[in-house]
Amino acid sequence: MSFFGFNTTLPRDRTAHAPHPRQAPGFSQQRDAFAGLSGNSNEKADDDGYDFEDTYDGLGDELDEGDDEFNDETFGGGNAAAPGKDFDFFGSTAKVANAINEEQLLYARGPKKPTQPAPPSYHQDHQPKAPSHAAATKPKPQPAPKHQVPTEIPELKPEMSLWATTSPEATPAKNLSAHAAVHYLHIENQLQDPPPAQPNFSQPAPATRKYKSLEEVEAEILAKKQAKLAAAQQPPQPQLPPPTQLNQQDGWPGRPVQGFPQHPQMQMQQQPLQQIELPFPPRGMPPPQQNQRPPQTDRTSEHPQRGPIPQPGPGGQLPFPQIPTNPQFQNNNIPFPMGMIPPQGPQGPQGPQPPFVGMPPIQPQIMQMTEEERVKFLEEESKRLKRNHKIAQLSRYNGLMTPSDKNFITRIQLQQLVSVNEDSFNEDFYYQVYMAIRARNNPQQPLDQFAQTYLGQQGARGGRARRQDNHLLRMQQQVQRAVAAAKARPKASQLVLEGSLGKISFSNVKTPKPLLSIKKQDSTGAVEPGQKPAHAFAGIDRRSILAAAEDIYRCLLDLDSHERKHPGPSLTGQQPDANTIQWFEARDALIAKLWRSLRIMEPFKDDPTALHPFIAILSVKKAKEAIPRVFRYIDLQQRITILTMITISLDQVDVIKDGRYAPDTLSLSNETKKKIEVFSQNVLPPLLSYVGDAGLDVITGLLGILIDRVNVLLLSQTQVGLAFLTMFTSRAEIIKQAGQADDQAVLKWTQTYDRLFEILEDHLLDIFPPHGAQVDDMYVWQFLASMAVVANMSQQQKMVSVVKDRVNENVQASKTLPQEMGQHKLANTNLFLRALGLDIDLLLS
Amino acid sequence: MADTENGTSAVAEPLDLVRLSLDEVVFVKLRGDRELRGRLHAYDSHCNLVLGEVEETIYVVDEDDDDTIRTVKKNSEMLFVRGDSVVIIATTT
Repeated sequence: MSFFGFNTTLPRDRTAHAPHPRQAPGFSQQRDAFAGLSGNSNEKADDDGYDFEDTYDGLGDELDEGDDEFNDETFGGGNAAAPGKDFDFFGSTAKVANAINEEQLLYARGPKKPTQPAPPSYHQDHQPKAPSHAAATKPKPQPAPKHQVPTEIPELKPEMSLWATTSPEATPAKNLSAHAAVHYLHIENQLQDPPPAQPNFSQPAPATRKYKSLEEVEAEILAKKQAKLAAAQQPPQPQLPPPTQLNQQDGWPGRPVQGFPQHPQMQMQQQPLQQIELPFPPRGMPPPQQNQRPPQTDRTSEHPQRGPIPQPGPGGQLPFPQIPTNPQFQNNNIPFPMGMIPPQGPQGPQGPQPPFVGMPPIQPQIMQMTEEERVKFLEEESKRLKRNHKIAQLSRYNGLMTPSDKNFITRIQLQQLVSVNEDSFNEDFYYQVYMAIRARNNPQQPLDQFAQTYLGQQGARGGRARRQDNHLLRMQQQVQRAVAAAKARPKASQLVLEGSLGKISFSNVKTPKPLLSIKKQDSTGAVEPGQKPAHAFAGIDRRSILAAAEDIYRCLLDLDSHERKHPGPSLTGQQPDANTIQWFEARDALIAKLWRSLRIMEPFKDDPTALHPFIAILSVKKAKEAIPRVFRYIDLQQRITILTMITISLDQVDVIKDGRYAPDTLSLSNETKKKIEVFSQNVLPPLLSYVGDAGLDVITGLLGILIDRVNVLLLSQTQVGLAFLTMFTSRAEIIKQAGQADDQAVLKWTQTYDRLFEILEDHLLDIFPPHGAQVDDMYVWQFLASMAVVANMSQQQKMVSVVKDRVNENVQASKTLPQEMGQHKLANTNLFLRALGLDIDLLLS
Repeated sequence: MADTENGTSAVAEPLDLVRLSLDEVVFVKLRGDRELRGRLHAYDSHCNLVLGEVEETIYVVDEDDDDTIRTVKKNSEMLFVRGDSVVIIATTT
């Protein structure tokens, strides 16, 4: 009490006591309970109406009374009756604790049965002792009280009645008061308080226990008070001051003296009542005691010895050792000189004694019980203890993580969960596309199934499907939001957490987080500002061509993925929302970028032999393959630009350059064949489709350019070249026949065609692949047919005269060739004949 | 020089070089005395590769016959190559 800097001799000390437990981190709840006990006792003392003035030296006035509000809370209410129950309970539990310890030992050794008998014996014989044991083992003051109780065995019996809840208080009070009186007397005297027995105890005690809890201290004080009271009644006081106490006191006497006198007085007055009360509050305490009790076994051995010893000293002593270490200790000292302390211990125990006092009552209970009941009771107690212990251990780390910690971890987990579902196209691209294609290509697929695939796709993207009401989507969205927030925030701190929480990364298996993040430059974007594209291609090495091709693909992929983010068709009559507008803007930007990446607008070099970048790029297979995809995005103007570019540079396009049959060869190289195939399959169709929509003037213009700038003869000897010529002439004829062109345009076209015919008429045989080449010459016949359709009569006659031999050859060959091939050859030839208004059947017949 | 500028802009990291060879015929040297020659269809950051029209050459040391080396050739239409065995990816032209 004095520890806290209060002059705590007054009853109000209790208030001071209450805070103690909090201040001392080392003190357990049990101690708090004791504090409560002591407080109760004090209150009781007040109730008693003891004459304060007798013992009061006025120090109490200095106390801070403001902290009394929580006394009830701390001490469990001021009701004397309630504490009385507690007290009993505590005592019983204390008893039980001893018994349990013993039982546990027995348990460990073997069958439980032995334990049963043991407990009873202990209780009866040791009832007094048991408390002492507990006290000895336990640092807390409670044990001390127990000890006292045991010492007063005869008196305890009456307490049993208390147990019954009749009028236990009175009896215990008496008992206590007697002992207490003795102690108190000692305390008051401060001189010799410790009983003779105490010295012995005190010595061992220090070794075992290092600290005294506040409660202990209080208990001691109370005990002292009681002792005083008792002293008033009884003479034993002188015995108390044992030598040990004196020894300890050596340094301390000064302080204690001041506070001490007050306390004793107050307590003294209260003592009788307090003691009674004290026992009750302890009730709550017992469980903790039990937990602590493991040492009890030792105590048991001691008990017998101590039992005889009338003074609680032994028990108290045990606690005392603790006292020295604790600040409370000092407090104790203050009231009593060091030497006093040992006696205090015993006395202190008295304060705490309440529990002990209770102990006896409990014991009686047990005693009252039948053997079986007792055993049962004990077993239950032990079980409960074990469980408590377990729970205590488990709950040791409770509340380590703050809610925000938990949130953070949850977010991490969620985010990793979501990254998997984020975009099915990222994870499942090929599957998704495959499903889409299959759905498109398989008309037999039931419509609903198609819808399922399609909608499933769209729905996953959250774009169009309106049935987003399903929980999964909603949850997904929520999670995504959470993840987005998480992504936005941590950044720097996540490095710190990595390791402790496992690896935090926003990547997943499919897209590993790059360890090196090298910033990618936007090559196509970079080209635009400074660099002159033409210069960029000064030396058109293969690598830059490949790089350019990759740029095209990069743009294409960007566009593709952008396309997938299409906000969805806007409802008719509705203004496009901001999202849609933004989307289209982004799309335009991407298309512009794509267009630049084609480098088609780069100017021609002065050097006529130099390839235009676009044509150079087109020499790469993948660039050819990209054309159809490019055409999907670019507008009409851009398409005609590409067509023109290709037309102008047609003789430079690799498939034309390499597409001619070398003089003495019967076939093209495999590589060239493949190129031609790729070109025909990828580049021609989009061009053709454009030409299919073009006007006659465009066709005329293109053919004119072709004739002007390109070696048409050379062109005509290649498959692709012929394909272009065929494309133009057939389209022109279609337009003409459809009557969609005015005379002027037709006239122009006819002139252009005549020029073409002039160039070719003498070399018509050269357009055929070399004799014996195992090549499908269909394209030649197609060309001839298209020429023939457009040609006038004289031109047709010239053609027929030139090609006649070839036709006959084919007809002959078709007879020798296997049926299928023969038919094919005839069909090809027939293309031309039909154009002339003839039919192969005429020749065959 | 402009060429190099252009080249570097497209090649910011080593694997970009591999990217340039996409859809091209590449030469791949593997651990275990194997070589591949085929069209590179796909690759990833681990150098896992998908090759088409692959010709695989395995060099075998014939222990019985004076340690001469003989080659075994295999052709595959399509091949997945795990990246951890890739030693070199080179263009063939």
